[in-house]
Amino acid sequence: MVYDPQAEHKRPKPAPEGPAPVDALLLADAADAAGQDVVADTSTPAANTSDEELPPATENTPPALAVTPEPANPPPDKLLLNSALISAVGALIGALALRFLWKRWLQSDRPE
Amino acid sequence: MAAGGSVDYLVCVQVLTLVNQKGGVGKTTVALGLAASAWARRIDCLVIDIDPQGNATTGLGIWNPPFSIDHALAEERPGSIASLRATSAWPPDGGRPPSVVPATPALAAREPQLMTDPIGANNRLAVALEGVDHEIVIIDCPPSLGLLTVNGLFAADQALIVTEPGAWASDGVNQILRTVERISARRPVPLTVAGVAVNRMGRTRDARYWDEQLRGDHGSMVLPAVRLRAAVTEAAASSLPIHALGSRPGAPEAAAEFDTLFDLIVNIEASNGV
Repeated sequence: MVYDPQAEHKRPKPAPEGPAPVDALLLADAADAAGQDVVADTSTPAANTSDEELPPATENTPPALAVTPEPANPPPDKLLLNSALISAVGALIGALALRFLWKRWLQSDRPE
Repeated sequence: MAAGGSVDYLVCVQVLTLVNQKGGVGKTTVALGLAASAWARRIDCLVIDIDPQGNATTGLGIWNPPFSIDHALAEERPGSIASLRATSAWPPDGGRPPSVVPATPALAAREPQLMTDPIGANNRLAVALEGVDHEIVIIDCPPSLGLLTVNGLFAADQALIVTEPGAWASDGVNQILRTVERISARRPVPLTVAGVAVNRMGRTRDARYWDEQLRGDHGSMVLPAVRLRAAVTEAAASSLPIHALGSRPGAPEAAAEFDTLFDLIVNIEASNGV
C-alpha cells in the first residue's frame, strides 16, 4: 500500500492572486498590491510638490513606542492598604450580619 | 580570488539570503554548512546573522559580541556593515575563517521600531551592505515574516529557501515563494530564487513522501537533500565547521552534501594554476 497522508484531504495551495501576508509590511505598496488605487497622502511633506519650503526633517522622526502611561498622581501605598483592610472588615461584618439574619429566619420558621 | 591548495576559486560577489518564515527547518544549519564549504575552500565569506536568537553567531564561535547587526539597522547608513564585522573563531588551519556580523537578543526590539518608520525601513540592510568587499555574503534570516526577513530579502541577490521534508514545511515553501515574488516586484533588480534546499532528510516514508511532493511541485528548483546527521548538530554545538570534524562518522558525508549545495548555488569556477 502506497503511503499517502493526503489521501483523505489534499492540502490547499495558496492562491497566486490576491494580497499576500508580506504586503502589510511593504507599507504604501500594500494598497497597490491589493489592486487598490494609491491615494497620495497630502499630510506629509513628501507629498507636497509645490516649491514651498519643506519643514525640517526632524519633524518626521518616528513616534515613540506605545507604552502604558502611568497615572500623574499615583495613590500612596498606605492609602491602598487601608482601603483594602476597610473593605475586608466591611465584607466580614456583612457576612456575619447575613448569617445572623439567616439563622433568625430559620428560627422563625420553626413551629413552636 | 582565493587560493585553496592547487585550485583557485573565482567567485562573483553575491549576497545569498537563507529564508523560510516557517521555523525549525534548519536555516542556520544550512547557512553554517555553506559557510563551512567556503571555509574549506578559503573563500572570503561574510555571514550576517539577522536572527535575534543569534545561533549562527554562536555557531561561528562569537559569544557576547560588543556590537551587532542591530547597529546597522538602527539608521540608514551606507556601508555601515564594514565597522561591524568580527572574525569567526573557526580554526584558521585548514580553512579561512569567515567574517561575521553578529546578532544579539536586542535585535528583537528593532523590528517594532522599524515598523514605525514613516518612509519604510525595508532596505536598511541593503544600504548597510553597500561597498561590501567579500566574495560571498550569507544572510541568516529569523524564522518569521517580519521586517528583519524583508530586509534580508531586499539585500539579497538570491534567496535560498530552506525547508525540511514535512507537511508544514511544505506549506511554508509555497508561502515564502509568494513572499519572494512580492518583494522581487518592488525591487529595482528582480530577486531570484537560488533553489529550495531540503534539510534534515530522514529515512522515514513520510520524509520520502514530502521530498517527492516538493520535487513534484517545484521541479528542478529543489536542490539535492541534506540528510539528517548527528555530526551536523555536533559541529554547530562545538562552534566548528563540519569540514573540521575529520573522520567523525557522518561528517565527511555531510561536508560533501554541503559542498554540492554550495557548488550549485554559488556562481563559482574552479581552475588549476590561475
